[in-house]
Amino acid sequence: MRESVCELVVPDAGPLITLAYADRLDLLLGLGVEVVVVDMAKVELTRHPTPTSEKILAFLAGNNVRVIETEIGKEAMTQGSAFKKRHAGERAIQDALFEFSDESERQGKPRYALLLFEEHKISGASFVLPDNVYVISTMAFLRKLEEMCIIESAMDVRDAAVKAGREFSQLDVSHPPRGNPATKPL
Amino acid sequence: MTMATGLFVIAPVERRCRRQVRYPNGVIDMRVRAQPNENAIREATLTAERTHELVLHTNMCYKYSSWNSHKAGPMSNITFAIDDDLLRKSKVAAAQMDTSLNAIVRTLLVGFVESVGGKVQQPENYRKLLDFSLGKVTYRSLMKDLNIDSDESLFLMMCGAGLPMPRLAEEETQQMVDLIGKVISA
Repeated sequence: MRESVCELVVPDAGPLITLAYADRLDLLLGLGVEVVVVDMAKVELTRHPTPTSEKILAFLAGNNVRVIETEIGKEAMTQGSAFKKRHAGERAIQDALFEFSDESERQGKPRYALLLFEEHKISGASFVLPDNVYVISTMAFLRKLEEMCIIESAMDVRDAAVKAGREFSQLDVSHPPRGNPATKPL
Repeated sequence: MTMATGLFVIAPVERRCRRQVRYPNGVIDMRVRAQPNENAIREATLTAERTHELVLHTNMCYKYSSWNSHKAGPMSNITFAIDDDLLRKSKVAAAQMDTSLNAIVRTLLVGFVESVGGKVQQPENYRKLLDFSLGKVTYRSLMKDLNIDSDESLFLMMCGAGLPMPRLAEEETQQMVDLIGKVISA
């Protein structure tokens, strides 16, 4: 019997979006560890309907994925679209990590977390990591699944996401982002 | 005669052409396989005549876009570094498309140059996304510059621009893959 507990923590919507475009959200369960999501990731998905938001929310609900509640996440959920706080996502992650650390001490047995980020978020991340929490990229996660023969190719999953993304992308890339007339369409 | 602005109307189509055709003021790979649509050919030919674009053949033609003919001159060979795995995959992908790696690189460069220097399209967004893709700007600064707050918008913009998300070095990813193995089996 396993002595330790390991969780796959999804701190923001990035990995969910990539896997949703690839239509492989099921892979989150592939490592056989509990999957948990920080509440701000859910807030991001519910704030604006996107091509993938419904699919992701349905996956989270359908698989009883636990959501870690944070103070700032609760605030964001209450305020809805009026909520505007800088670095809210990172603050929520930090909050969740402190909570994880406290919970580990309470449980008194080894507890680990794999913090799943998109690659571009890893270098700019600015929060304190407890000793038992490890940052991994979505690509590393997929490569591990490839190693475990759960998927044939990590690259295929990523390519599928990009391919699906291209089908929707013209909408975004051809128009200036809302509220910033200075940024011209591509 | 006003020189061509990039529209070439070329190619006999009855036979399968698998050679690279070189013209003094432009290079086009011809990989013609299917019967063309006659209306499209007629329209392309008329457009080319109206705008004084270079017409090489007008009888049963295809329309190709290519690099501005008045700028294209003698061909140069260039050398650049690329990782072995990407090279292998690129060759396979090019073969699947029944073309050469040479043609793919040239086409991508044409797209890049046109995106950045095009007179009609605005290059600001593209430049920002390219800087991000190259790792010159951080995720946070890009999101601020583009005035977007959703990871999905960023993902779609990158897909639309045809740019890859910044990626971690292979060693970093492999370390993470190994780490996942250790953590889940602890």
